[in-house]
Parts: sequence; C-alpha cells; structure tokens
Amino acid sequence: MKKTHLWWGITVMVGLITVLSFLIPAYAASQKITIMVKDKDDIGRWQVAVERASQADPALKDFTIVYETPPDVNVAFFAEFGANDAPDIVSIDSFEVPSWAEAKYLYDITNKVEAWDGWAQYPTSLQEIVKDRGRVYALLKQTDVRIIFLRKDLLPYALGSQWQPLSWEELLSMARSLKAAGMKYPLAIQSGPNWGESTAMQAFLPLLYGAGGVLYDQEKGKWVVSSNAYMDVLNFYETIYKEGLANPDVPTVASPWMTARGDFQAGRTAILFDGQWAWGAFKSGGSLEVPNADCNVGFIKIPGKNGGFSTFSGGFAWAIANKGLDIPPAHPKEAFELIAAYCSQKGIAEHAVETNSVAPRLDAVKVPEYAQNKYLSWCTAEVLPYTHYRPALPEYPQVSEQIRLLVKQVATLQMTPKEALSEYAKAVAKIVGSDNVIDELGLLK
Amino acid sequence: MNRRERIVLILFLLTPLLAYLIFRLALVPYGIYYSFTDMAYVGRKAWDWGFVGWQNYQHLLSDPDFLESCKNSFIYAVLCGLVGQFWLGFFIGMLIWEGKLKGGMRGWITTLLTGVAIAAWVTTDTAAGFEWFAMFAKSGGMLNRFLGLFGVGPIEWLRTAGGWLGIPTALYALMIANVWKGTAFSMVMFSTGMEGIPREIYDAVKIDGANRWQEYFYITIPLLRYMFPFVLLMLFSGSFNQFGFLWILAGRTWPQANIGIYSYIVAFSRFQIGYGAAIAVVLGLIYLAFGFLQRKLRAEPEIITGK
Repeated sequence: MKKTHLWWGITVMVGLITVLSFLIPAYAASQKITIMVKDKDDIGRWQVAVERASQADPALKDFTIVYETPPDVNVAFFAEFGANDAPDIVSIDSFEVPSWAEAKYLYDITNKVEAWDGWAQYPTSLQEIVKDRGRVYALLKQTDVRIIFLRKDLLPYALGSQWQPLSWEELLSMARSLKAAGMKYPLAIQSGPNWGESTAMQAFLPLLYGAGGVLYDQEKGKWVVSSNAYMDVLNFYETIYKEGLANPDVPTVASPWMTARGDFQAGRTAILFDGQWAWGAFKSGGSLEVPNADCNVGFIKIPGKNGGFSTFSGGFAWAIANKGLDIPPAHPKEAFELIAAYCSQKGIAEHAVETNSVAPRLDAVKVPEYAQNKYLSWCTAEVLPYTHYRPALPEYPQVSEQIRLLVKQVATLQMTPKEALSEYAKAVAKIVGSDNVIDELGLLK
Repeated sequence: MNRRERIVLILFLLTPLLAYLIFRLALVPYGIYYSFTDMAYVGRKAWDWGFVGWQNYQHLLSDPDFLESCKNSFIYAVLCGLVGQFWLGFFIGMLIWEGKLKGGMRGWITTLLTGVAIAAWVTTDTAAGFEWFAMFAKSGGMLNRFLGLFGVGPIEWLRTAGGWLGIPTALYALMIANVWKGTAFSMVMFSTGMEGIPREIYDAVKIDGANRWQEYFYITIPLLRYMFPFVLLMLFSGSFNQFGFLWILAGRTWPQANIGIYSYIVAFSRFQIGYGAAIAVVLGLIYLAFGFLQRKLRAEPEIITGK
C-alpha cells in the first residue's frame, strides 16, 4: 500500500515539474531580450553596448538580457523560430540577409536606420549588402577588404612607401621590370578552382568591377555572362601568365595560397593580391613572417583598368528577428537601441580593434584606439569607399564555381579568353536559366 | 504477481515504448512527407512550401553529388566490411584461438591483442575520429611525420580530388581508419565460432596427416561458413551507415563522403529540407533491405548441431 503512495507521489511531482517548466519561460519572456551570438567574445562587447544603451534609455534597465551561444547558430535559430520563440537579436552573415529576409525571419528596420545618425557612416555598398529588395534588415558589425600586398624592399627603385598604380598597365609594367631584373614570379593572383571562393572575391570580381563591369544587374535582376569588361579581365590574366609574370603552378596546385604566399615570403614575388587579413601571416610572429615586415611589406589598393580603385567586402551583422512566422518581435524598439549602441562609432571601433578586423563605419577612424592601428584604419578610410559586394543569390555559389573554371582555362593558357568566356556564358545560362542572363557580346548565339 | 505490481510493470514498459513511438517512429512519416515537398530553411520556401510529388526523387537521379556519394558509400562498405574487417577479423580471431590453445607467453600476447582490438571497437566515434584526424593531418600528422623520416611526403591523406584507381585518396584513408575501428566485431565472432568447433574433428584430421593450414582450409573455414553471410552483412551495413566517425574525419570538407553525410549537408548546411529528406528516405530503404536480409541470414551452426 505504501509503495503505491510513493509511485503516485513521484508521478504527481514529475507532472508538476513538467507543467511548471512550460510556464516559467512564458512568464519571464515579457521582460527579456535574447541575443543569439556566433562568437562568444561578442558577449563582452554586448555588455558594454547594453550599458551604453541603458544610459540613453533608462527603460532598458528593466530588461533582462539573455545570451544564447548554440554550437550551430543557424539550425538553433530555425528551431526556435519554428517554436515561435526566436531570439530578439541574431548574428548573421551579410550574405545570408536576402534569403533570411525572404524566409520572413528578419524584422524590417528600414525606418529605424533612416532615423539613426549612424547609418550615413556606412559606405553605400555596405548599406546595400544588408538590404533585400530595397529594405534594410541588419547592421554590419565587421567587414573585410581585398588589397594588393607589396614587397617594398624588392621594388626596383626607391619608391618610398608611396607607389600606388593607377591602372592595370602600371601594375603590369612594374611586374615586367621586376621580371627583367631577375625576379622569378613578380606577381601572384588568385586563379583557378583550388583557390575556392578567393578566385572570385580576391581577384576576378574586383578586377571586373574595376573595368566597369558587373556580375549581376540589380535593376534588371539578370546575370551578366559576357561583356567587354569580362574580356578585359581575361586578357589581363592571359598577359600575366603568357609573359611568365606569375607562377604557372598557381592555377593548378592543390594548396595554391601556400605557393603564392610562400613565394611572397621568400621574395620570389613582390606583388600579391590577397585579403587584408593575410597581413597576420606576414607580420612579425606570423606563420609566413617576412623579415622586417613593418618596413618591407606595403599595402596598395587594387587599381581599376584605367583609373579608380576597386575592392570587395563581406562581413557579419546583427539583425532583429521575428518571433515566429508572421509574429513580430516583442521589443523591436529596445532591440534596435541595443544594436545601434553596439554599432555606434565607438562600439564598431572597439569591435574592430579587439577582433583585428576592418571597421565598416567610416567615422571609426576618428576613434583614437582604432586610428592607432594604422593598417586597419587605412583599410577603412582609403579602401572601403571603393568596395562592392557579391549578389547574395542562391545561384551565386555555382556561378562562382564557373568563375574559378573560367579563370583557370585562361591562366593555364588552355583556351583563349573568348573561347573560355563562351564556355562560361553557356554554363551560367544553364545554372540561372537562359532568360535570366545578359549576353552583351552575343556569345550564346 | 498481484494486480498492482502488474500495473506498475506495465507503466514501466509503457514509458520507453511511448518515448520510442513519439520520438522515433512518429517522425518517420514526417520525414517521408517532407521528402515530397520543396520545404527549405531559408528563402521564400521556408514558409511558402508545398507538395511537389516525385520531383526530389527525380532530381536525385541527375544529381552528380548524390551519385558520387552512393558510389563512395558502396566502395567504402564493400572494401571495409567485406574485404578489410572480414578477413582481418578472421585472421586475428584465428590468432586468438591459437593463443588460447597454446597458453603461456603466446596466450598473454593474444590477450593483449584482443584488448587492443576491442578498445578500438568500443572507442566512441568522436574520440576515434579526432584520433585519426591527428594521424592523417597533412602538416604535423603522425603518419606524415613518420614518412618524413624516410624523406617521403608530405602526403595529403584527406584529399578528396584525384586518387588511385578512380577512388579519392581520402576514401583510402577513411577505409584504413574504419578497418582499424571495426575489425573487433568479426574477430570476436570468429574466435567464438572457432571455440565451438569440437576438438575431435581436428584430432581426426591430424591422424590423417593434415598440417595446420590444411586444418584451417578443410575444417575451420567450412565449419564456420554458416557465420559468413551474417557477419558480412553486419560489417557491410555497419560501414554503409556510418556517420559520426566519418563526419569528424572528413564530413565538413567532403559532402560526398557517403549518403548519410550528403543528406545531412543538403538538409542542415544547404537548408534544402525536402531534398535532404528524400536522400534520407533512400538511405532508409537501403538499410531496411539490409534488415530483411539479416533476418533471413541468422547465424545458426546447422552442421554441428546436426539440424
């Protein structure tokens, strides 16, 4: 008899605990803001941002801020959204903004950013990168740029630190004179499938946009598969490899960045296309340390074909999430105040200094801590105004694979630029559909 | 057993049964249903999804990545299970049995060997995955360091392109790791089977003048043959369905490593839930076929028991 009492007791207890555990979060939800972060180090910076936002709006002090750090942010977010319990603020790759917005995951903050003084400090491209069909859904916290690294100690004459080619021709003539002076492979440029996304992002796309071309026509909503700019870029690649200005292994070797960066470190190469983060490898203490790197390694912008400059950026952003499908967030005003505090001039500068990344706000360079880092503040002040971004469409990864192949065919001199481009045009038309392409050179006929 | 006790007993049985029904079986129809939709996690299809009939299944047939993952799954399962684990297991099982017969020093060595093989077998997939990752790493990996002593390499063991005989280098590396990990099963099966063979039969052939090898060839193998289909099937399906171990070793960089990994990547990394579910259903059907075969091939020693 007593034993059954025990069983009933246990059953009732378990039942009560189950019911309570469902009730407690629902009760607490009215006064909390949840932030889902990918990088755990962001939590410390969030605490600073919350502090600053609470000073401006004391009402925020009534909120409990909860941080979630799931191992897989995407999948955790989808699950919470499906249960109508999505976090208020979520970390997102800028490349994911359109697909997340179309999935109705993100809350439209267009009106809020327009009323916010920080918005104008983002360069136009970095405003566009967080938009979907003209509406803003996120704010960038961090970005990156593509540049050219120089071995200043190996340049043929005393250029000081000021050599900045203003056209491709100037870049080529420098490479030619280095070659004539006995340097083995003066120039290194991403070319071929083994580079992965780098072929498109670090070299091909900056060059294409620097020649006045585009990959995707935003207004018409179509992919450009052939144009004079394409031909210019491919001719540039062909010249480099035909004249032996670049290491012929680079388009085909298994780990090409090791070859290219290795050549640069060893002084076989003096001009290297790369992401701004590669400096971490070359500086003293890096994995490919260049002797006396502070003096010997220089940085320049990627020149346009006949003037101007060009680069590409991506980056991570903060977005306000809807609670569930067609359920708006509980506290959008407060959530935006928090994001705006994180992405304030000072907040962005601190994030960039602590994570050694490029600050996406132009006024970050006025913050002393960031200005002290001459390299990063140069990236923000000098390079970022010329930046572009990739079309964040589901087909992009496949198109990028075709770009890698296109560059490889030309760089290995297996095809002429025109032959390779017409293969490329056909392949892209197959991927995106022949109605969705612009074929300026008529290669598809 | 009085009535009260019986109720408690039923309650105890009911709880796991319910949990199994809700969390495992009830999800299967969902998976099958999703495989006929174009549901996705991102983009418009996250909410505007619907029934698309056989479209996902038709797409499977023309998806080179899926076909590649099928090819890799079968090569891996055949070479690991049927060739590597089976014969190596038989050989080690033989050594253990011999060791047991002889005793002494040899007995100790075989006990050690058994321990090592079983330790590999029971090591969790996660730990074993990282262990082999450290072994195969291109720079600083144990294998390349060892080869470096002889001036060979470094070899990119986990390279997924190129390879030998049309099989990527990475698949060879995975097979070596998996043979190491999975051999203990057949070893235990065979050594137990060998113990069950009556000594008199061996004594009889010894009198007829058979040597050690002839004993194996004419007595051990024929008398153990009843186990072969069952063990082969267990090994084959075990390798075919592997996930955690391969995921840690190569999954994140090699979506086509096997069907399970490809299904996971499609669903949870490319976020095409419908298509990922279709791949999982195909994998489930293949596995179900193994299950039926397994029921047919129950290991029973009919010769010895005289059935």
